[in-house]
Amino acid sequence: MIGMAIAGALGAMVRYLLELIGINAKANTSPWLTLLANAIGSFLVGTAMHSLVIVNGVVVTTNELIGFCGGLTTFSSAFAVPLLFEKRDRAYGYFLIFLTPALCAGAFFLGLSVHN
Amino acid sequence: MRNPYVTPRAVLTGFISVAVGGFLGSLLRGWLTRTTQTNHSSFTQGSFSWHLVPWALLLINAAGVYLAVLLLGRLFAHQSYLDPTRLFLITGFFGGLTSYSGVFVALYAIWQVSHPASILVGLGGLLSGVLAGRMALARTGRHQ
Repeated sequence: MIGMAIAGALGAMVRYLLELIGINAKANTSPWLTLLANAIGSFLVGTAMHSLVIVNGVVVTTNELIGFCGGLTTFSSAFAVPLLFEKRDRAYGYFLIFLTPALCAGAFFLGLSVHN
Repeated sequence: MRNPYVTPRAVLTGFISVAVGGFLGSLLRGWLTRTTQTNHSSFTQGSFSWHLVPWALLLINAAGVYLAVLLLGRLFAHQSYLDPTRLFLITGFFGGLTSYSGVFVALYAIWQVSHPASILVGLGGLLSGVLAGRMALARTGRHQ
């Protein structure tokens, strides 16, 4: 579990690097870069599915890549940041919230197809 | 024009904050999901079972959204993205604790036995996130 947590920390650091790219003059970052991190993580975890181990029906995910993707992707910021947009941007916030899983699902299936 | 906030020191402090937060969040998620993991005996039998639903992760994700909205809406409302405490908690800890990819791993397992169930669980996770976020939003006094 320590190995997965270290991989998760690395994933979070890569997401931080990605989010740094879009930092603006007020030192805030773009939610689109969080979406990009989520899509990349979903793609990578899709590629890892071929190595998923199932023991007695239990899905055992000890793969470090899955730990890395867990840290790279974030559910909390993907919802919290758009929900806190100003009132005039509320529709844009919900658009981002519902676009994220759609794009991530597409990226996941794309990752799956790599090994199929 | 150079961004006055993005100094080497701020970026480095941010890296450390995110790494420590991400490690702790990932460790807690690993512990919470492992200790609550149910034996998915139905997985190999080819039929859907409620035990396949990643309850722990869905709960963690919804709680993560709730707390992140509260923190970002109140405590960090006027802090920049590069504030070390914000990076530790929001980008690192809650980023590591909650997971989009983890949901897809679980949905994939359900997908093997039932496509509609996988889609329904995915929608449930999405709506629980929205609901948790809106509940927290009401407590921040925003969007009233």
